[in-house]
Amino acid sequence: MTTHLVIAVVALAAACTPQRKVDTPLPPADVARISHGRHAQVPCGGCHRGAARPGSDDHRPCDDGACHRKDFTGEPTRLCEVCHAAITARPLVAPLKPYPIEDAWQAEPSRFSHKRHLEAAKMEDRVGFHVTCTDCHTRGDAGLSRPDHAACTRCHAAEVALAGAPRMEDCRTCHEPATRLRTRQRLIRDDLHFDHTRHRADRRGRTIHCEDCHVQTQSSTGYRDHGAPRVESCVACHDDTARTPAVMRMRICETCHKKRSETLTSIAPRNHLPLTERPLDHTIAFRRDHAEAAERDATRCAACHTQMSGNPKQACDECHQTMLPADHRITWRELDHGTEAVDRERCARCHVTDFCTSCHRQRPRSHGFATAFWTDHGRSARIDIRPCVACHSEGFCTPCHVAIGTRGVR
Amino acid sequence: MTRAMTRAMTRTGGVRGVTAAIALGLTASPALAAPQLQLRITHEPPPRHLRMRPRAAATAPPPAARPATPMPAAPAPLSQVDPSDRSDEIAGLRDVLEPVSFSLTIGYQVDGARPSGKASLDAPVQEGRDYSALRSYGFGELFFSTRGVALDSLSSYIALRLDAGQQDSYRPPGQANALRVAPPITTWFERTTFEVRTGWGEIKDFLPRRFGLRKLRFRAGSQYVYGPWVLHLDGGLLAYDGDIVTASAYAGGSHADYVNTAELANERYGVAGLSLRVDLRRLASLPIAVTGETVGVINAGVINGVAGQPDSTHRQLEVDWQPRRDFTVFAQLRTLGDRLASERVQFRGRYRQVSNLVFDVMRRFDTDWRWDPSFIVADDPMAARRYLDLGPVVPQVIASLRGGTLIAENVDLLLRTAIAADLSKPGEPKSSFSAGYVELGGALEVRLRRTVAVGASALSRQTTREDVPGVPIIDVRLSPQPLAPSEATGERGFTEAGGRMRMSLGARRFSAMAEVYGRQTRYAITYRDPTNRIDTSDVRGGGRVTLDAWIGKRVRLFASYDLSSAIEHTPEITSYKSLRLTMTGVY
Repeated sequence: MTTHLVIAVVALAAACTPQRKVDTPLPPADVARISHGRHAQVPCGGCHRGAARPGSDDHRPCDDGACHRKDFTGEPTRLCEVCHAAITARPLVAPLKPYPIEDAWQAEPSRFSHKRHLEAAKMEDRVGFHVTCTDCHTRGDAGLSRPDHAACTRCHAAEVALAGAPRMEDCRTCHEPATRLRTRQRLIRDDLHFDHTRHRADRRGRTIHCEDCHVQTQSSTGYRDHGAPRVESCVACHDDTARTPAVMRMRICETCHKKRSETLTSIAPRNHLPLTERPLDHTIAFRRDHAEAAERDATRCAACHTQMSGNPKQACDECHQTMLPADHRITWRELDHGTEAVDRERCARCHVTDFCTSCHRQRPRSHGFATAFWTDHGRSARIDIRPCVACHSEGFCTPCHVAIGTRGVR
Repeated sequence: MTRAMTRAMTRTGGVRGVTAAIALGLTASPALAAPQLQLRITHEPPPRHLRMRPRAAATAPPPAARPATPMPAAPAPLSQVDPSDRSDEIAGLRDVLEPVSFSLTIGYQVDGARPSGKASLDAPVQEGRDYSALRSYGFGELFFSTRGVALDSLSSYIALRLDAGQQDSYRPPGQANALRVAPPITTWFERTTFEVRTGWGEIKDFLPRRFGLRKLRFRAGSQYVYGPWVLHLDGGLLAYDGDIVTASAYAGGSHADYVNTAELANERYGVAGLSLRVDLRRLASLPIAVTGETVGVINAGVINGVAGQPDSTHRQLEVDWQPRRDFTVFAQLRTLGDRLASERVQFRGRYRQVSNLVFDVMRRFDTDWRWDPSFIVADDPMAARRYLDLGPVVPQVIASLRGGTLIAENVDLLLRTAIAADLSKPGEPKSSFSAGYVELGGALEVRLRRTVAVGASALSRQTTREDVPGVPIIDVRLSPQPLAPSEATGERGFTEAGGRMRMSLGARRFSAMAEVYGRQTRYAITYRDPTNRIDTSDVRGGGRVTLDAWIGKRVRLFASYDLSSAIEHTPEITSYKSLRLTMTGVY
């Protein structure tokens, strides 16, 4: 007992130690990128003058006397690589890198909270009105725009002077002084195509609300928890004949994909199946080990397993008393189940003890009900005597065998 | 300004004009000091489509004389969708928040076997006299649950079972008494009953909310309690479901299930238990939860008790470490009385919904119970056994590893293995059911089309049987032989494999499945008869076809047909077969 306590204490102590962080390889960073940290003493507006690229006005303000003038008057230096992909002096060719830079690292990322902007009640309390998605993601011919600074100025510019709303002069209100990995998650990528303008209303003419697909947006407080829409959202409509025309059904790959590949993986993934199909996580392994998931959210189980009460507490029996495991086939009761008694905990998940007792008190079919099985059971017993001793003790057998044996019957 | 005063004097004339001019001059004089107004729009105003709504706080207060009305509700959010709530996916299937819901299933089953004309291994059998070729019976299940009916905080659940089966009998010619023939193949019951399997009412949030009392709930009735063992009680459970502390206390009598004799129905024992779980995650930011449980089984003085069994106390301590949502390690100790009975360590990991890994090690001591908390000491070895006897309790360790994943979102794969070892010392009693074994199995399902999937499964278990001196026993005719020791009996191993094809247009629309399987069992050789060969293995198989169809969202029809191959050790019949039809209504 002491040993076990010591082990338990050691295990507890080990569990309480801080978690080790796994060093995962980070994507490479462009060493030529400007360091905002080194320019911390320069006001943001000193370089960012409008939406144009800093330095696009004939290298102003980078070539100011106090800054990098000498880099612009001599031979090209590494500073040029901040904006230019390459520079050749004769003839003068200096192609620019794309701007804004869209690599894996994001400098001075914004901390935009969709939740804060979409909480209508709080917003009204604060500024007197609320906004909806299309106030910022304005509709255009090409779909919905990605908001830029101009979209923010409509409420946050100093001239608007909304009480309670941050002003845009203070860049730090939105932008963090850091560089971090981009966390943008996209559903529409690779060969997928999607058009917001065709998703304004369904076949019945009912409006498709943004949050029907972007379910996480309303609770998202930053970019990290702003997940892309899930395919299940697509399935909800595209497998519903009332909402989607037949030619746009989920089983027609070209509805969303540009081409249909001919490999095994071209079969629609599980998350493309109708919602009435088994959920994605109901794998073969899940069938065996689902206790934690069921304990966490029994209400979810009850939506399909209609014999359940929906009560989240102590509800295992509501399924385990009725659903038959796959291996309980026709031969299970009479022939197979004995070998599984090595795992009695598995039996006990559904059967209480008196289930075994009740059955084992009945005469088995093999005992030949009307015939005298008790005189003719030797061959079965010699093949495997364990089924006999599960119910009968040696004391049960001996009196007959001794008596009959002496009569020479055995 | 001067021109305006002059114009006023001219237009009104005389004294009235002077007065008006002075008044205009006085009124306008502050404007002289004000700065130039900036009337140029320098920024686009908020767009017109920003919806202006009155503020909730701006609503006029009610008159003092009238009774105060509650504050108006906050403006409706933009959407009712809770992002963490996935019920939108399945809202079309069933709303679990409906006040009343029920499910009623009625079924009919017929099973049996046809005579093959071959002789049996033992006593000769005959259709009609020893068994009926076909047996039919009915059954039904009713599940009824309520939420907030009569009382907001009251919920209830009732599960009823209906059995409609009859014992078949045979009256030999010239005899007055009928003889009972064998029971059906696939069901355990031969009775007509209507029983409440589970039925409880639960009330919560019934006490003043101070001190967190609203988190108390009380459940009374026939219910299952999950503690050191699964207990089916007729009694009450009081629980506190707090964020940090979860506690419950329960007491009652064991519920007799599946009883077919009055003796078993009366053999009920008392149970009282306590459970306390402290989640340190919220208390001290440690991802650890500690659970302590104690269960007392009372045989004496309460109801009738289990004959021959003393009272017992079982305690269990469990520590869960869950540093991440999908990563859990738990350790568990269980005692019987003051002795350690079993210990267990389990790791559970999950990755991206579809990949699961479970590693479990369980060690059982010879101080453990024999079957469950109510049965802890051996029966009289010379009496006919009252219980299914799995032999003495043998120290044992079982380790199992299971892992499954979904490859390319189409190939569903499960692999599992287990190893068990008998830890008893030489000379100590052993059991056939506690022998060491190695098990390896797996299952696979691949979807070939959007609605068609094929699968295969296999399982093999090889058991270590002890080499016991004197076994195999040479069977000498006309001489009684001893029973072989338990550890030498049983199967040496079995291997089973199966394949299946499934077509599904949606689990709640229409699905069909066809399955075939086979199994080979090898038995330990305990007897040897020089004159008469004894089989050491058998091979059998079978198949199953199921159809599952929904008519709308409320009615389900289900049919299955099971068929086995010929059973080697039951040569007098061709095979087992069974047809099962059920209809379920859901509300």
